[in-house]
Amino acid sequence: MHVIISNASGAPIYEQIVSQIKAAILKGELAEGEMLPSIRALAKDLRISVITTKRAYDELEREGLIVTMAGKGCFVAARNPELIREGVLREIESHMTKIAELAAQAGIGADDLKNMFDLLELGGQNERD
Amino acid sequence: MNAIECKSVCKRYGDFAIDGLDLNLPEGCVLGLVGENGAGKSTLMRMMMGACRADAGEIAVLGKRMTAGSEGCAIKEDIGVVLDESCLPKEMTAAQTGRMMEGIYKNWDGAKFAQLVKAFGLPDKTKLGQYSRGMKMKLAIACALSHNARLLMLDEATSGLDPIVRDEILDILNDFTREETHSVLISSHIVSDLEKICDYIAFMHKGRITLFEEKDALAEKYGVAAVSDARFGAMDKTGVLYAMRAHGAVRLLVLRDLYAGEAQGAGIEDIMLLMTKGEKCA
Amino acid sequence: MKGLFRQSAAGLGKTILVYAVAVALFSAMNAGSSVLYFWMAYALMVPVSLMSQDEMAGFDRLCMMMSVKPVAYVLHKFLLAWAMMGVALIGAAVMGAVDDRAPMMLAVSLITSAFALTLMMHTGFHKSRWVYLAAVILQVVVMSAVDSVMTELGLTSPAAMNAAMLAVAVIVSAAAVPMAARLFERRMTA
Repeated sequence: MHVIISNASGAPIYEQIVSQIKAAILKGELAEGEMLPSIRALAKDLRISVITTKRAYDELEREGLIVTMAGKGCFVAARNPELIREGVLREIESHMTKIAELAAQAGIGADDLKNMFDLLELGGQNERD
Repeated sequence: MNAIECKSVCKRYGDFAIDGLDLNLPEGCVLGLVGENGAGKSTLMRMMMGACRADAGEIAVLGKRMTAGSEGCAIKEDIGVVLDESCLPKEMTAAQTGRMMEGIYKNWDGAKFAQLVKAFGLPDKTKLGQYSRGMKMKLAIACALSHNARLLMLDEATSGLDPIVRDEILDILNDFTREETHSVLISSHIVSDLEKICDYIAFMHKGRITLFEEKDALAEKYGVAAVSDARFGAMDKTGVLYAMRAHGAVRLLVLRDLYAGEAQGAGIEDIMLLMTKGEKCA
Repeated sequence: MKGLFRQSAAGLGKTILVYAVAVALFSAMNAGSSVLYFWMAYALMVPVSLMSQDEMAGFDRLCMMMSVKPVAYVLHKFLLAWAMMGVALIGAAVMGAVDDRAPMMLAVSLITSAFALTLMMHTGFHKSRWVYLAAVILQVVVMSAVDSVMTELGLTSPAAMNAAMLAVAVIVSAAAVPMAARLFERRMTA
């Protein structure tokens, strides 16, 4: 696992750790049940504060991505695909609500929105190719 | 547990006074003590090291009451000290220093000392009088690390050293705290050093601790902003802690949560400067 | 205290040389029992010059932060002074300068050293260099005065008087150590 801390990016250090570990887990770089470095070891390797590292791990644990076993260490949590999907769906729904509100304000119809989305998809596909 | 606990510590020298100071260093952490020259850092540290009597108050180090002089000697076995000058006799070589320390500390680890002296690239047969400042400092650190100390106290140990040696020393301290029971107290007026290594920062000004904060939270909690002189008079000063006029503008130290305007995360140096020279607003 | 002796041994080189040269010079210029004055008077030079080295390096300061008890620091300097007086006696004996007044000389030397070292532990070497000088001069003056008075009166020092003076000197020296330690501790931890 590689965490890179950037002082130039304005993001707080614990957020950088959280987002990088989260990404590693979602991409499968960190497998389920894999042990993470101890808080102290990671802090010392990155030369950052122990407290900040603890805060990042706490955050990851709250999000259910890792579990701490007392006396053993921190491990990547067993993932329930349904649960993750549900979470993502909920997030999409909230974004869509916002889109609907904005569209209503400007009188943009559903067809226009659909077109916009198709264009986005197309752009994304081109990028992937 | 706290590695160091100061409760209402008082000490007076003429005009200078530490009056009812409280400060804790949680075990396993690195605490940086910042402040301008004469703020009282060294006096405070000497009291914690058991080399200076407090007029009043209590100091506990590694769970035991620290008193100056003979009584505190048992705790001093577990403390490694490094001062701004190495204070080691100039007539000795590194090897002789090691043998002397063997006669002073019960838990002296000669093998570890030899290994550190080698790792730091210190010559064995040169007298300390011929050592450069950086070499003397490294030898003092080697001594501090070779008697199984659980707490290191460094008073201005990195001042006057070049950036490369300073970085090496910070690495050594970083490694020392890999052990959960190891703690470090380091005072310096080279703020960037402390920024690199500390878990907590305590800011001392005129004998008082004016700020004690988790280091990484500093930039989140405190911000700096600059406004024009004219604007400063009329603006809403909610969240503004200190203001300092300079070059036609006013620099502000603000609490980012409360301050309405734009502010950038504050570094320790900004905070130190504004707290020392700025006017208090709220 | 073992550590402190190792430190002293390392720092002693030059001092011992100066001591040897000074004593040799005075011995060459004088004969008879006055040789012993110089051997004795200069014995104090060893702990005092070590004290000044410690102060210059800040080693005494460091000792207070390491697990060195103030009394150990002070006692080790006294022990050095006493050891040097032993060396002085042996050296003077080898040169045939020890007569039946030697115990008296030793007593005078012990007492002046005890006062001088205690005072210096109280103020530090740099504030009381003159104490050291005064002690050396005082020793020589007192010793030679005692010596000449006794010669004039035709007194050879009686054993009982020797014993009494030595006893007083030992008591004064023994009492000086804890006293000096207390004063030293008070100065260093102020």
